[in-house]
Amino acid sequence: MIRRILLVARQEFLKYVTRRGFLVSLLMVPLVIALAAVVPTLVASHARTRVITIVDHAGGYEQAIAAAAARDEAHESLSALADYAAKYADMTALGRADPALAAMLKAPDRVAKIKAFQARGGWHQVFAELSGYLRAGAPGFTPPDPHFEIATTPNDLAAANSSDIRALSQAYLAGHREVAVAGQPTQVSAIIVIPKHFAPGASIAAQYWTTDTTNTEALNFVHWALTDAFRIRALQQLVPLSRRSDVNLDVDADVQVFDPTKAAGHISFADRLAPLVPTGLAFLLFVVAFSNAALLLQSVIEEKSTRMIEVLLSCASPQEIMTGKLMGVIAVALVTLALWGAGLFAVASFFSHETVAVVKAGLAVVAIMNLLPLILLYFLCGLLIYSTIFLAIGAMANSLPDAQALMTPAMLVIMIPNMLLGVLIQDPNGMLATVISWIPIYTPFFMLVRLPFHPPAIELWLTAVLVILTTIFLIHRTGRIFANHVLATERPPAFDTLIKQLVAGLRRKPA
Amino acid sequence: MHEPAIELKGVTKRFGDLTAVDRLDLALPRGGILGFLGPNGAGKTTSLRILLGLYSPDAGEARVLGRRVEEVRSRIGYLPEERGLYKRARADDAIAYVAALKGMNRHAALKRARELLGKFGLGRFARVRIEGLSKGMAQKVQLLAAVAHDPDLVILDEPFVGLDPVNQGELEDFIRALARDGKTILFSTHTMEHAERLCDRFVVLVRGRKRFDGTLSEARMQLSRRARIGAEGDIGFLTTVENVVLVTPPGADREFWEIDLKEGADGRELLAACFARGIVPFHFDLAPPSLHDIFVALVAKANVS
Repeated sequence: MIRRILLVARQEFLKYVTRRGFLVSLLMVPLVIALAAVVPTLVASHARTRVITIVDHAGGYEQAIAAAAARDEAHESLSALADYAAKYADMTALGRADPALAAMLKAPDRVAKIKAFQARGGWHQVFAELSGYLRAGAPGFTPPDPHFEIATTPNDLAAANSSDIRALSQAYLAGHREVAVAGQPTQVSAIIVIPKHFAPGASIAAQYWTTDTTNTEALNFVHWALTDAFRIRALQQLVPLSRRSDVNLDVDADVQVFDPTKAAGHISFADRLAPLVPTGLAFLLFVVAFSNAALLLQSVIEEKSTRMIEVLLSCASPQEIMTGKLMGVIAVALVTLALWGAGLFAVASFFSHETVAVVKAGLAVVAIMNLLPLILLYFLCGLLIYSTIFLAIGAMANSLPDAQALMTPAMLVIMIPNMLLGVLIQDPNGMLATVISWIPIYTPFFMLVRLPFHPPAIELWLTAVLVILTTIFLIHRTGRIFANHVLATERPPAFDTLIKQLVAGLRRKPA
Repeated sequence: MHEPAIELKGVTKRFGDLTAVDRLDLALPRGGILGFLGPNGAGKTTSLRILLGLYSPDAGEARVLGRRVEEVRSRIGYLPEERGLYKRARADDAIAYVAALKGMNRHAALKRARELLGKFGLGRFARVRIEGLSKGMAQKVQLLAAVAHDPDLVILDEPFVGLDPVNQGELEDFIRALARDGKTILFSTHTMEHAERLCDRFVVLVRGRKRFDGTLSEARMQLSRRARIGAEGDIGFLTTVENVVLVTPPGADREFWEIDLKEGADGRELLAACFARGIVPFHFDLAPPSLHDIFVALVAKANVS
């Protein structure tokens, strides 16, 4: 019995490990893991700095925000320096010689240590003090870019009244006018307007002007900086010095978001909702594409094994069959989405009476933003691109294990950039996001994700053209691969043969 | 005058280094049942796929019903070797789908599918899924799918494979009925019994090349014949008769004298020679070679050459 079990085990083992797909998976999985680990770190170390300028009519709040920005920068620098010291410094010697510095580097997240770091003179000074304890061959230290920089308030913004602020904000935020940071002209990301009577308990909101309403990092930073300033002011005004440590005041600075490109200026609930629509569709694209296209693949393999494909080919051309199959998948995808949407709507309506209003607001904003044609374009083209890939795999495979061998590398290639999604959303119009958006098989997904973050119009239209051309090219070429391989019963072609067929001429004429 | 149902001129099809069909010339007339015979790997399926437009020949020209294959797709019916139907499809839908792809109106195709199923005793299985039918039933459904659109040419690839003798007989009747309706039937097989019973004409392929093209009687002329004679005396003198190759006397395993004749000889000379010597045989038969014998001989000859 054992012998038979071992014979079966050997046969199964050899069957899997001798497939090309096994080798490809073996190499690709560590590569994907490495990419997923390294790229976010690389990207995070080159995070975009957001430039903020403050028009402070109330007085004192600009300094509070600037101090918060300096503290944030100090925290980032100290954390990076602590990592650097752990790697390259002799911490034991440092601990004996300068225990305060060693303690600072061991607890870089503590507020007291950050303040001490600032008091010592920041990273220049601390690095100089640390340099005596560095091991031989230690590289230099480069601090991370700050998250926020506070620009000098331009005179025209400072003098603007409430009716002028919108037009001026639009000019600055669009880059038509620039602000100065350390004397260098640069484009501003957000403009904070502190009204004259802005104070704790005054029920007056600070204005946060931006065109990038989806990025909440800077908004949260400003909100917490102003709330801290409120707390300190309220404590100073209301609580005697001796009791301040016992009192925890419930204050919160109100910050309202404004977009100068919007007719109403003020950011409504619907405005906040709108960005979720294309992003949600991007994820649905993957879910629908992978579930329906997998069915497509199985169906082609079944047609090959039962020779139904021959009957079909005796009735219609390969191109007609393939196009019909793709249209069928699109129809299934749209029906799936419609049913999911209806189901979700029904469940949400049952639990919340605001569902109808939310959905209407979402649809209205998508329509106003003129995003609908692009959303549909990216979605449908994405679905077609992924479906043609699956269809070609189905045409080349003679069995499900064959298909699996081809699917694994294809899926890994398609899924790689998803691991970077979190990082890319932090800087949706940065270099990495832009580069990935120009790789045709990734364009539909990433452009859908980036749509709410206002990528440049030229990029929108050019990637739209790119994705249309890619879809047409793939359907055309896959049609040939389909015609060539769908009747074949030999092993799937080698990867290089496949690429040659996809890109250039074909060895066999299509029927 | 009708053009041939099938016309191949110098058709060659290669797959890498393998030449599956080699300079094949064919001109098969319309009407009747044509057998496409050959051992495994002879190029039968490849030739049929060329006739169906599934493959383009690397050289030569293929015409069906007097036109290019692409132009007459809707006038061809096709039954592949295995059950080329969706397992989950219902019998009537499966037939109607193929008929609609061949150009029939979807509603009319469904009506026709149900009529055909009723006519061939499968009416009550019209709404049964293919996976729920026996192999014989599924084969019938598939054949109905191939002919529901009333094609002029029906191509059947190994239609009898896997069927029990009863179903084989029913299928033969079905094919004869199609032929009586004026359709041209072309079917490939390597089972000679079916071909011998059904076909008016044969083409034998071996290693991608045509080795024979003609009727059964013409095929029989290709092979030497064997006469069996029962006589009271010694008829060994028949070795001197023209066209006689070998004379074998009766023995433990043979009751009569056996006389092998050259190809094309009809055996009348044997009787004449016996009568000339005053011998009146009490038994004489001149069994024609079976298609099986002819096929084996043709394949052997091709392999030797």
